[in-house]
Amino acid sequence: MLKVIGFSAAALGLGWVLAWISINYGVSTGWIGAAVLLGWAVAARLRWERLKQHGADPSGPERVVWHRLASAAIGCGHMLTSLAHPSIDLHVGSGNSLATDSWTILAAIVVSALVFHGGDRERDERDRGFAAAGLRVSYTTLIVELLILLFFLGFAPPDLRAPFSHFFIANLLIALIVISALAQYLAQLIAYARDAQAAAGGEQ
Amino acid sequence: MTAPPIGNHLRRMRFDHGQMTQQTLAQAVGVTRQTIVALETGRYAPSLELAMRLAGVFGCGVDDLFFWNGTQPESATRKNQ
Repeated sequence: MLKVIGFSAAALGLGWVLAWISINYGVSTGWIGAAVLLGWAVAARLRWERLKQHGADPSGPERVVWHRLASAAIGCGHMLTSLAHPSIDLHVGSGNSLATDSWTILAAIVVSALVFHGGDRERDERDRGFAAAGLRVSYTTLIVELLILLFFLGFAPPDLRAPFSHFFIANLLIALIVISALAQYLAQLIAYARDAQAAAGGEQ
Repeated sequence: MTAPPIGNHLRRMRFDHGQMTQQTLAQAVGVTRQTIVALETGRYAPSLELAMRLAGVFGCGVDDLFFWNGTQPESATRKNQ
């Protein structure tokens, strides 16, 4: 379980660092995020192939969740850091690389998903049970986030709401969706991890 | 994680059927190998459909493969008497 939480924190931290460097030094860092994500995808696949020989590899559906967690965490870290600077224009071609960095990371997410392709990704009933638990967490997270945002937009003093342009709110809503997805994948992987922990004393 | 109150003889049945591997059994019933591991270690109770598929692979009844491992509800105990 600690492994899952630590991995998420590391991926979130990576997204934060990439955006921070981009904002403070004006350097495009999307390609670094893309390279790390692709490198991790290849390394994870190789590691899981080795574990397969001992029957300790994660199932296809669990691998997919790992990839989604990594992608969502890096994207989330990057987006939240960018949104923490409302004065920065996030449009492409506005003098900073944040938007192009986001698109580069998004492209890497698609390519790295292909690296994972090949295994059996079909969920069985046990995977569906974990997915359902993850969806419940995701739904609750999204509703709580939206309630907070709605109250803020409705009742916060005008000077606090000033930076919230339509474009900013649109980006914020995307970030909230990504956070709820992150919560879903985190809950799913914690369920897998608890299951594996319980199996540690089991038989092969 | 609470273990479900349903036990099974999956592991013994696999060995009785030509030392069938977990992967072979998983493919035969359309689940992942990890689910077979979870079943054998008593961490997962299958759906009725999966239980019947598993029994079908071994050519036995569901009752021969799975058994109740917990305490019976009071009403069920009374009915059985």
